[in-house]
Amino acid sequence: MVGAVAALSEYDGLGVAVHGSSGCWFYPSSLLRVDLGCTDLSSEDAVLGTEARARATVETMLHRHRAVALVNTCIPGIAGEDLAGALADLPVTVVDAPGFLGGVWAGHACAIAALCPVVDEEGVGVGIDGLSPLDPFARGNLYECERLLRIAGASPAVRYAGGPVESLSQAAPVSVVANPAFAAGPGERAGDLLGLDAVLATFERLSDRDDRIDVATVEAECAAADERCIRACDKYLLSHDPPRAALFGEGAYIAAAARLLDRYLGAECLVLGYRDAAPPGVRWETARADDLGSVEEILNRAEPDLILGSSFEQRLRPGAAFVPVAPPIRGRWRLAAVPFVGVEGVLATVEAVLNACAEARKL
Amino acid sequence: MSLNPSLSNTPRSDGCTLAGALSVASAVADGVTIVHGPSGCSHHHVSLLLTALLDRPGARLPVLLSDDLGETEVIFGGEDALDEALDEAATHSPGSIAVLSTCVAEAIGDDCAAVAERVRSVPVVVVPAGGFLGGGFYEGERAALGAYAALSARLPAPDLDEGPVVALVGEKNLEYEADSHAAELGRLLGRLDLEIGLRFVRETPTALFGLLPKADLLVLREPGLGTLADRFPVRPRTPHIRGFPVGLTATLAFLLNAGRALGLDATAACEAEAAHQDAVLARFGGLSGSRISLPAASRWAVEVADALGMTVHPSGLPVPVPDPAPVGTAGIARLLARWGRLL
Repeated sequence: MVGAVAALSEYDGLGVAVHGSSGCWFYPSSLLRVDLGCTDLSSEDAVLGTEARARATVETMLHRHRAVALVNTCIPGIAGEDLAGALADLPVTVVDAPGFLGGVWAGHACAIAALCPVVDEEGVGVGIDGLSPLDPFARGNLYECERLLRIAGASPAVRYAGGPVESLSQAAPVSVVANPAFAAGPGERAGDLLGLDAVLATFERLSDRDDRIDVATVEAECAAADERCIRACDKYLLSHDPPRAALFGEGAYIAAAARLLDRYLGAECLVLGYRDAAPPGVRWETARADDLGSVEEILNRAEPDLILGSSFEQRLRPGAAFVPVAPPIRGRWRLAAVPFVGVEGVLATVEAVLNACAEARKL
Repeated sequence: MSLNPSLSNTPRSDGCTLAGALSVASAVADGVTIVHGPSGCSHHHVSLLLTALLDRPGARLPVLLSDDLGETEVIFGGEDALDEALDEAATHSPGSIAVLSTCVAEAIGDDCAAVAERVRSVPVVVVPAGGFLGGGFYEGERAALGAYAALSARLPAPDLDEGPVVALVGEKNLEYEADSHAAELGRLLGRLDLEIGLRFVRETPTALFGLLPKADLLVLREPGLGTLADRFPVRPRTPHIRGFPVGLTATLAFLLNAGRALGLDATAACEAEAAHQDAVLARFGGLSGSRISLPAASRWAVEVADALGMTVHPSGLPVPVPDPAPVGTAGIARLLARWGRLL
């Protein structure tokens, strides 16, 4: 449900309401800080039906929004009312995303699918997929994707998720992917932008598809960024050993981060603890790490001196250098739009790792 | 067409019933908590709990398990998943296990209590915490306190030194100042040669809950806990103090009430505390004559301002008045330090 609410709340012109209890509303509301409606279901509603409550909530929200997405939580999901039929006279999209269907990634995909994007095969521009406000790098990723597309001569188009909701009715035929864990849009995917090699490969595919897209500028940026990372890391390695790292987060992100650590610092990547799905094709040990017990066991076994992950991992091994790459990230201010993808994403990640390692060694 | 057009009376800003129950269960020092529901329910609250814990250096990370109910369990029932989670919880050798049910568990009708009955090696408390049942955070918190109170009646009373047992009830475990409040109450009770015998429930091992039925005085965190405490398995006519003391006069009254409840003469304790309050106020004598504004309904803050010779007027400088209000004389001293920085 939270994944769905997060995705939907990114679209301008669309109000979002949680069809569930106030408790279900509280977490996404406090996390996302958006105008989020709620039908405030009680046990009586579960027994007697929720249509009237849903209708009243949607009608109230239509005073502020052109259309409303109503997100089903567990209780209406179990009750199985046909709300889409019952509210057919209103501009409302019912999104079935109860928590028991899966994690935030499943909810995000449900939301995008429910909005029924229509691909315009003749459309110009390149879409940006894999954007969710639950990703701590989403805003930075968006800016970096847009920047790279523009310097290559392409026009950034539809977003999954974000932008005007009307943009979904004429969606670009091809997209680049920011965070693959949240890739949910239709049409062709040119590839992701996780690491400099991926950036180049993706832009070459876009260029093959449309000869107005020029890879040369992106290529020059990648080469310069590579050089900067090599120089900075060489200096670090003059006086420090390579870190022994454990990485936790979404599979694609941590695999990309492990490749950076390996290339620039010769780091020993002890384990990649994934939350969503195992990263394919990596040579490091992987393990599912979606509960504190397994994370603690992994950390005790690996004994890393560098952790890329969430505040959970930081909490469990406070002595290690820490770089936040996965939610929840607590106890620090994050205001700037820092990317994880693209050229700037590589630079930002390497910079964060070097600073964290250097700080930890000072303590 | 729905037959139920009524508006919900659930205060939306309260948060989920499950969060309230979890704030209590996770504060049992040797407890393991199972959230019987989808993993999302557990994640939401663990994430919020972690935020609170990050502010407390060295705070213990509680053991929380989710039995991760999915579509299959929704259709075929989640009792087997709970059964497995109980087995896993038992491997942690806890003092007790809390099973917190969620909306899904309540809607599909899992009989959590029957599943929990199977566990003999360790006490299990079952707390209905489905958010759609029409409550918020406080209902969940109270349901959990009630469940642990019921458990206390089944536990042997620990052997402790003779002397009255004073129990703090319902400390707000997510409150940043919770331990400072308890320390202040400990200091005040010390004036009567008393100690806090039981913190119910905050960082207390399960075995000590057996003290609750022997309690001689219950000090409730807030008056709203009174109805719940009336149903605790304590001796008839066990006295309650219905709220931590807020304000100068209320702090002295706390000492008087505690003394009266336990048959102690609190005159000397009150005199000593009043002298201490005078000394505290003297430290902030520089605030005298300042013109401040205070939110309505904070009579205790007006009392403090009056005692310092400050002028309270809507046109005065707004000063912070925390919610929850500061406890005891120490709380007032910290508040005055904050006012002093502004004025």
